[in-house]
Amino acid sequence: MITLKQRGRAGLQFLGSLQTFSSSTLRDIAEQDYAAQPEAPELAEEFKSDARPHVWQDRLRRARDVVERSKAYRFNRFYQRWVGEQNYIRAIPAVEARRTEWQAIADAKKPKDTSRLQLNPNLEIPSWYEGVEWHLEPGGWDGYDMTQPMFMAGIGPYVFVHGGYAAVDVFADIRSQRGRVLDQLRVSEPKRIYEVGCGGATTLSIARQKFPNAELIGGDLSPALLRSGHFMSEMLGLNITFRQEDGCNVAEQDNSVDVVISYAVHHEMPPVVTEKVIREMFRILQPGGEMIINDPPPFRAVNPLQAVVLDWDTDNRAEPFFSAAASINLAEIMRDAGFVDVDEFALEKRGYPWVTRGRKPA
Amino acid sequence: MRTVDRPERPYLGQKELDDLMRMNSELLAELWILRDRVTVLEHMLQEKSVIDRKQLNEYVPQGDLAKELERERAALIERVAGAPHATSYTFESLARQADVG
Repeated sequence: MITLKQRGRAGLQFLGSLQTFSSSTLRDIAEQDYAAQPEAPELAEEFKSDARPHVWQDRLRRARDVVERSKAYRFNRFYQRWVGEQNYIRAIPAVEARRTEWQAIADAKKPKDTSRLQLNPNLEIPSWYEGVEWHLEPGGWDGYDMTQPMFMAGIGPYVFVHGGYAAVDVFADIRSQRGRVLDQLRVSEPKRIYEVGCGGATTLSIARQKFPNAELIGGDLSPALLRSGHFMSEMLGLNITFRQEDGCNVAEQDNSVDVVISYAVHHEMPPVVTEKVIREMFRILQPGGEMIINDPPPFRAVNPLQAVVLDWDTDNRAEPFFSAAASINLAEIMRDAGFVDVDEFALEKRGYPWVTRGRKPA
Repeated sequence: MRTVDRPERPYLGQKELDDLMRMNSELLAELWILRDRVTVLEHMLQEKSVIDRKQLNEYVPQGDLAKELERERAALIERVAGAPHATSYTFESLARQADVG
């Protein structure tokens, strides 16, 4: 593993510490401030029920007016945005300073077998996806060829490791969360597992640990993330097939997989696309197979302050579909698509990970 | 407008307050990076028995070292004083900073 120079390392460590302060100390004060507001009990009741998106926007606007009375909350949001930008503003120069060394490793360990990386240069990229610089990363998922070292040697171990951003609670361990989500599967020994919107190999590598004999396939729109996943998979001998494809139209046959995983992707697509993806996943599942989804919780499952925090990501952390996704009911969408035994629940406090799962009738 | 561009609505009620807080946050980051570096440096020097604290206090930078400090100082000032004016960033603008110490 190549380490960053002192400036890059210390700068990113500072961001991790500042985000931790913001999402623990400041957040706690903001919650106390909010609880003392006279409108809090009524808002809490109102937020428990499902509603149409425009109703949620009205509720959120009123809750935000109350939440923003807290100075701690305003500073908390300032720091969240600043750290969100600085992750890339600091990590990219730090990684560039090590480009030669990283490139040498990439060249030396370049996978010899490329059969498990199936890119499609003719794939039509959906208009809703193009141009979005997700999470404030310049150029988006495919904008930077050193994304993998940037996260593995920089933002991951120095900032994200502390949690405290978006739906992820402070001090949460995002890697063990993935394992705990997969533990909720009710299919015991799946032979074929498909992950929609797999990105790299993060979730599938944990699936490999749990299901050593299963065939693993990941689909995603981003060639850069798929290449990154393939690189890791081949280096670690995970034997995962990566395919560039649209989750609304995947190459799997009808009734061909036992498990579908969807990990933190539906908040990155419009609800109408989520509906199509879920129907497509129903198509490829075997009768008796199961789809498991983890995504940020819906607004109805969290308190108004947390809902305001989730909504904030939409306009402040380059997550254009975050609010729309939190306004819908994934469990209902799954039932409408034909799934049975559908349920939904939070695994940790503040509603995340939020698991929705359902089976295709046997 | 790009999705990384700052929203129009200020976080602290007034745009200039946001700008001042950006400067403050940059300064705090720089202060930490420097303290980290000095602590590491003193540790390494002490391990190798190269200098003691008295030598550090008495040393006056000259020549190339003085120029290096001047260059780093200019970069620091641009980073801090320029923080409110850098409204966005690109891969190219970030990659150019790779040589800063």
